[in-house]
Amino acid sequence: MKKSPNNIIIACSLCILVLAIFGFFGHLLNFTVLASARAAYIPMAQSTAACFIVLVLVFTAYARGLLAGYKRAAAIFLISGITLFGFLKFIEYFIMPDSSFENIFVESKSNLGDIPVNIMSHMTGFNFCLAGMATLFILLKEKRLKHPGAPKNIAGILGVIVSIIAFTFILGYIYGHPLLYSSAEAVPMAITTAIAFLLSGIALVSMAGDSAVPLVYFAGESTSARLLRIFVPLVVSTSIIQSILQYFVFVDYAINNVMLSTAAITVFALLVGIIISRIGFRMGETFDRVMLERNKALEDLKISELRFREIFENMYSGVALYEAVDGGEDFIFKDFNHAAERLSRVKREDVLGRRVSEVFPGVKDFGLFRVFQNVWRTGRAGYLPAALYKDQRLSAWYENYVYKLPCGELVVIYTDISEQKRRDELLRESEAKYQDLYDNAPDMFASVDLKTKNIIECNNAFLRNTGYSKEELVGKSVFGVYFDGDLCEAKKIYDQLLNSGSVHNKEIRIKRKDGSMLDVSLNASVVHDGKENILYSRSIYRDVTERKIAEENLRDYHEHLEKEVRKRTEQLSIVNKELEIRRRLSDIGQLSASLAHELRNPLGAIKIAAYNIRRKRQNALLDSHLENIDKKIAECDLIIKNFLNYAKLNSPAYESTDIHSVLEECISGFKKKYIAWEVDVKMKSNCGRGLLIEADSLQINELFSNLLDNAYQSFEDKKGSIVIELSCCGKENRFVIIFSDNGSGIEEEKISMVFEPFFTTKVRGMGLGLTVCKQIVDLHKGTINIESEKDKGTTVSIGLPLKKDL
Amino acid sequence: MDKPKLLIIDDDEELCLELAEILRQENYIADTVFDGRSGISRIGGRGYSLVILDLKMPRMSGYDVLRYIRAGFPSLKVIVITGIDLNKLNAEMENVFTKKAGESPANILKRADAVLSKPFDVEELLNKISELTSKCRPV
Repeated sequence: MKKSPNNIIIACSLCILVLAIFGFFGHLLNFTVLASARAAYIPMAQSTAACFIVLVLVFTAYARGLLAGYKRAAAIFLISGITLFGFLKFIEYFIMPDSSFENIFVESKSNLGDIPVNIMSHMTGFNFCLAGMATLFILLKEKRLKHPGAPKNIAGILGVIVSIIAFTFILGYIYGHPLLYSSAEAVPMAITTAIAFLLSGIALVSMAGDSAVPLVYFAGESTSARLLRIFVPLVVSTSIIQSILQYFVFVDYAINNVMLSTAAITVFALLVGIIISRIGFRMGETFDRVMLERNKALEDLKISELRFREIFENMYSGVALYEAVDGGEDFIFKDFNHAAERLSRVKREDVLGRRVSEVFPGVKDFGLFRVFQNVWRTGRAGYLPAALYKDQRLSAWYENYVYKLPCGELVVIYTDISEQKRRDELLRESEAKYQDLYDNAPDMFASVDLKTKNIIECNNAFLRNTGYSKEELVGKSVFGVYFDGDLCEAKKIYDQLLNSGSVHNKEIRIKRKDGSMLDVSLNASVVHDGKENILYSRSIYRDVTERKIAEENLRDYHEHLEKEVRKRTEQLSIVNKELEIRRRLSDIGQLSASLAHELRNPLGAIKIAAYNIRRKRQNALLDSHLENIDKKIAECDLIIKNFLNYAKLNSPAYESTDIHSVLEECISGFKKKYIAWEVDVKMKSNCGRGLLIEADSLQINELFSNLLDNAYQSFEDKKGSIVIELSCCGKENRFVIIFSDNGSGIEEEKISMVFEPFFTTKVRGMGLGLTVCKQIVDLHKGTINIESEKDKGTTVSIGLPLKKDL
Repeated sequence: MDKPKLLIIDDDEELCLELAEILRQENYIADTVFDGRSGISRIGGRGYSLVILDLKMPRMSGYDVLRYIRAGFPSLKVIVITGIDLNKLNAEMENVFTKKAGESPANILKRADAVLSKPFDVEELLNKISELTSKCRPV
């Protein structure tokens, strides 16, 4: 589009240049027909030719884009000169019609009729004035003007006027009645000048361009431009053709001018009709198509609008549209979707048209306002990562994305991530909890890479118990922490873990950093990825040192307990034995009580009867028999007494007892009883006489009597000696009495049985004597001990407390 | 002074007869009965100075007789002769004899003037009898 007007300008300029040169040189060579085309016509003046040459130089330079700086200044200067010259030439016609100031430069050498040749016509001057002004307007710098298009428009209009004036003169020539030739006062315009002006006008219109009047009406695809493009040339060419036909072709035939005009108009009308119908058809079609397309486009737009509105309203994210006000100092709500209403807890109608700082007072602290301003200023999209928005009404975590629309509005897309934040927080807490559980668990945790056997991770308990630092363990082989002697066992456990996937309660020892050993129980399992690959192990070591010690103690305790149980069992069996004895004694007790009564009654009767016999006897020989009867009665009574004592012994009836006197009473009783025997009884005592002890005197008497009886009985040949030693241990509050005899003694193997009831070494006797002795001693919380050697004698030692409760 | 009159109450007839003979020799009047009930039916109005009493007897025990005597004839002397082991009196008697009055046998026995265990020494018995009869008056 730019190229073709330039070509037109250059083409017109060349033509004008040729005409101007012809005119100029025609005068110089006196061959003026070059400047006039026909001899009958006036030639172009030299001043006119010079002006045209200047004009076309400027045109050409303009078309080639050469006018800048001083060249432009020079062009303006020259054009201004031409304009002024043309203006002066025009007004000269009205001020001084008879002379010409042109004569100063050029002299008019001849006349054509009444008209001086080589003088510029005043109409030519007027046209130059117009053309010069038009050129000046074109050369103006438009940017500085208030209405940048105006100069070009004016230039275009002036160009058209120049063309019309020139065309009018040309038509005059064509019709054979050149204008102004009849007037003597005015110089007419030469045909070449007119042609040159027509071309100049075309060039000026071209220079004004298709964005200025008049070309603007012809350019483009608008209907009016199309119609103008068709009709203007049509009308012009039709009128020209009609003129040519009327004045040149049919001039020799006497054709009625009216008929010719009518015919011409009919043809013209026909032509116009055809063209209009064609145009109408074409235009209508175009119009219909355009309407259809427009309707479809509108429909599409509506659907699209609806679609985007729906998307906008139903988006999960909140969307808000803002318009900047106060040069980006604040932003006004333009639109607000449902999600935004929900997220921000405000109604759309409450925010539209209001300022963001007013609706969300916390927006500046939130950091979003700065993002708004950045985006608005730079046009680059902005992002505000999750942040806490807080004002009196709202408090939530939002994530914002901001961008600028081409129309300058800001779009904010945001989501409420409070829930996610909360979940993140919970997750973080949970993770922290588990981390804490791992780190601070009392058991020792370690994760071991099962390929490299290196420790990946371990907890605080592990470090604390082993004394190593984390750096010393992580990345090192797990076998390094085991006690050297357990490495074989460790490898075995490791293989088992690999093969079976887990190991339980494996006892192993860990080598602490200080070299000491730590007994642990290892539980481990392997961790797989989704497939079959083993990733690492979860190993849990439990410190079992305490347990080991406890086990040790338990074992000791167990042994101790067993020993104790054995001891107790022994004691129990002894007690059982005694109990058994007691049970037997109890039975015997029952028996003996009634037996004793049943026997004593007849004994009593026998004794009385014997007494009667003794009194009635005449023969002294009966005396010995009666004595025997008495003796046997006494023996029987002793048997019964022992028998009873044995069974009936009760808790002692404690009383203060003179031990010496009891002993002496017994000894004298026995000496009387065994009066015929040669027995020496000696008594030794380191205690003072009259030693009083707390005891049952009857039982003590029984005790001594039995011991003495045993001693007497052991003298098989009715002689021997008995030594009784009495010693006091004041400190221990005990006294000891020892009965020694040199009688027959007891076999060693029978010694242990002497205290059992009904055991006896004697031919006669029930075997209850020592049993009763032991019972009495036991009842007094004393001790009795017997030593004997066969044929050597027997020693019985008795220890008794001096006081009841000792 | 009349001969002191004695009553022997014992179920052992031979013992009674032998003892009565000795006592008669010693210048006492001695009667014998062989059970407790007969014993108490003889006491009273017959001028007995002393009773020699066995404990374990048919029909009525010596305890009951003793209690009867102590209730009705406080001045009558009583010498108990018995084959029962005196040490074990309490436990034994509770099982064997009556305890109607809620009085322990040992306590009853304390009311006797003397207790002798069978087989007793006859001289001892005679000493006791002479001792007791010398300072009592018959009932």
